[in-house]
Amino acid sequence: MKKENFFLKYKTFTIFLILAILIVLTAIFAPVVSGGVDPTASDLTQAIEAPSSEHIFGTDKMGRDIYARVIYGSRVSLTASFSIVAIVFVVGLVLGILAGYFGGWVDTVIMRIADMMIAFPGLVLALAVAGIMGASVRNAVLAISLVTWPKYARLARSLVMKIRHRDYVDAAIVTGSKTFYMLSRYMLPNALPTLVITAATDIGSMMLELAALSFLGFGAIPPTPEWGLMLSEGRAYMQSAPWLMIFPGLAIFITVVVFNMLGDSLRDILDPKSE
Amino acid sequence: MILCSPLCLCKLFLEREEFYLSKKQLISRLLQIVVVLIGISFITFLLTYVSPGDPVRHMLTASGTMPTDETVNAIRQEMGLNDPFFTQYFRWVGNCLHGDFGDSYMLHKPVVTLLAARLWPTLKLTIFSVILMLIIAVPLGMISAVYKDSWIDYLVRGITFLGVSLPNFWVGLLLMLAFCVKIQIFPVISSGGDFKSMVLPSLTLAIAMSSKYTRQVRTAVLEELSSDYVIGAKARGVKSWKILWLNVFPNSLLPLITMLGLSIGSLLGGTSVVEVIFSYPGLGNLAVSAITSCDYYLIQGYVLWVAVIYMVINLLVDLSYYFVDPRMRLKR
Amino acid sequence: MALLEIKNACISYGSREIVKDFNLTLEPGQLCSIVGESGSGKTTVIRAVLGLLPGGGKVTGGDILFEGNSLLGKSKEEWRKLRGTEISMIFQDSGAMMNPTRKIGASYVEYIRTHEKDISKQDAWDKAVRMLERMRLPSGDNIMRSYPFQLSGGMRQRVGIAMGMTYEPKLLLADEPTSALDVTTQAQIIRQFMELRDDFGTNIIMVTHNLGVAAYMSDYLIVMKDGLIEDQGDRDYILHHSENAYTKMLLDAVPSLGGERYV
Repeated sequence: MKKENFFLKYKTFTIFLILAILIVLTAIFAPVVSGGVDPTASDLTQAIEAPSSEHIFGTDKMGRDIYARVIYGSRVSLTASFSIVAIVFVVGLVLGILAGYFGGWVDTVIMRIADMMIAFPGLVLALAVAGIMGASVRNAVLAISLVTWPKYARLARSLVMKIRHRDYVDAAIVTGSKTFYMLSRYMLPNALPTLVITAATDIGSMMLELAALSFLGFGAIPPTPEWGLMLSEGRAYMQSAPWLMIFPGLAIFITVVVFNMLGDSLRDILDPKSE
Repeated sequence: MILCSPLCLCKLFLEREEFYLSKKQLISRLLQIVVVLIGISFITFLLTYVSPGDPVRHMLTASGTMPTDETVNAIRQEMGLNDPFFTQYFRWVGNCLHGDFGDSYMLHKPVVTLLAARLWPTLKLTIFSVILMLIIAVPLGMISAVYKDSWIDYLVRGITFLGVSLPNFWVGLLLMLAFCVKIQIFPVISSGGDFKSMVLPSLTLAIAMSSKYTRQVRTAVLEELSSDYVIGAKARGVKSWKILWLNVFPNSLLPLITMLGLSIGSLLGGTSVVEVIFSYPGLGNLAVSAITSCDYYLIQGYVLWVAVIYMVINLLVDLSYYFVDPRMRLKR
Repeated sequence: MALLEIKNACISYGSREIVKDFNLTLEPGQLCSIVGESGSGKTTVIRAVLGLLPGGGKVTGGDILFEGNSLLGKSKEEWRKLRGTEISMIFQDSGAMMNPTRKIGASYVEYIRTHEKDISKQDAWDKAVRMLERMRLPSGDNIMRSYPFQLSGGMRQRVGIAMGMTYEPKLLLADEPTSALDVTTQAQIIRQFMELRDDFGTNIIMVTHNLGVAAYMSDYLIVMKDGLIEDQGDRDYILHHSENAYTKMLLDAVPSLGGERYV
């Protein structure tokens, strides 16, 4: 009864939650959704075919089915961007809480490193890191994580600092609460909600950054079905086969819109103050 | 040369006592820049050092020979690539301080020359796209704020929402498809760097940015509109258009200056995708090919340059506040 | 004829009714105070007179008559022309009511040139300086060249009064004009208000939470609570004869010094 009310009350959230779940299900059940077509199976006799009843999104230069590749592409995109968000969330949260709680040299070291990363255009460093470490989805994930965690660390630190010297915190310490207990029962719950909101609203932009790296050739490598990579492969055939860049692009756009909307509506629910 | 101009500027600021930004703050900002540069140079150098690719092998393969292990090793020895990490690092830093960022393996030219040649096209592209973005975002944001909660506000908000979710490389490709392939009014390859070849790349960048900025302008204008002085001016009978254009508008631009500074800074590095799509001869395009071909000196030089430019722009932006906002400049 | 007449005014924000059935008749030469705690709707009433209800606020019933004419029936432009000439308003912090990034002179000249289209910038400036000096602000020229935040609270309030009095309005609305000031400055500003009434014959409606200040200055007082008029009458009645429990409670809250009530 209570749950029903919640979903009815926040209609936007519910709609985009359902859409997001659909996208996730598509990724999980990609073999079913693509009708059993192998996204990497090439057939040069069917290369560059326009959308038809047989290949509803057409085929690429290797004769691979674009529809299957777009469906399978959601796997790479979702796992990679969720990984990035998870990594920066955990790393940022832990380092931020430690910096804010202990202060002193711990704070100085962590925050100086974070400042250094922030005082620098993120994409440039991510590009350099991903490029130098060699192209792969894993390296792209690491590169983007490397330049994104400071944002979370700063946020967590500022949230912890706000309550660090409140009377009830000092009282808990004086009465002998263990440090781990203090961190997990006082500091963590205080920092968590804001960070969750930030993470939720960041999923979309992580997808975009990842696709951009793949597009430049510093992320997924052929023949992986990845949307950014597919766009980059389709570029050369823009004139003769525009469907090569229409469908992967639409896939990125729709997925990012859904996750952005989901993040935004979640923020409106959890934090009604901001707009 | 690039290090000289901020120093001159700082001297200028140090001589003027009335500036609120104290000498101490300014010096600490400059120190911060130095620390960041040391950190960034160290990280990029470390990464190239531990990376799996071997530049010598790349270089030789590119020139058409199949390198043997002996020749590779001999060349590595000659270039000092077999020296211990810190020896290499300090040698490189020392050279950089003398303005020598090394030679590009691939292009066999000094890194400084290569970067300098590409800096202006990218700067031009950046400035042009920021201007284009402002032309789109400022009126939209103003209209959206002034007619808050009307249909036009919802329309603008909806469009900007979709806009921030658009991948800019896709926008670039679609624009190219529309204007270069279908109706052929712009060149597919923007190699010239002339006005015509800048239109589509900067439009791509502007579209991506303007969604974000339209929202920012809207928020800033709404905040200004709700401030007391607007009520005060209305109570004095001042006309709405005067309140909006002579008071609210200039004030709401103030918070945008910081954002603009950040955007210009990150555009200098972040134009890579668009430059690659349109084959635009800028810094980002050069960097991408340098990374692909393991041209380490070029990568390191590029990262350092962008870092310096980015931080100098941000410092200038902060200093600019002391001109434009009297509350910062004058003590009570 | 009464200068201002508010008849059964009801004011709402959206579906929430903030002020119910408010009545007020201001006779010429009177200083009337509306007293109440925050949230009582007192500020809403004078904002409505000026047509400056914040977003979503609307007069949903009754009428407001100025010199016998309904203000609610006026066009936006007609109402705008009245503001700052016939009806002026002074706020709790007049400094905050001026653009913080422009000098006081710029805001003042902008205001004068709004209502006198043909006046030159220099003449407008001189007029402003004369007005400032009339309100006992020495070196008006310097003040015009300052930013609002560079002046003290008392000076800012005098600037606000000077601006409000530029066109010698028939009606001056004052919203907590002394609440942000220290006691000494408060006393000076109160005295200045009373001189305005005596020297210019300005009619004043003042809104305040301080019944002590209100009773000291006013001819007539209205006590508001939760959007309704709780009690009203002349000074003598409110101070000594009212049987209203709320009025008594407000009176008891007035600070007293050495056993004597500080009114």
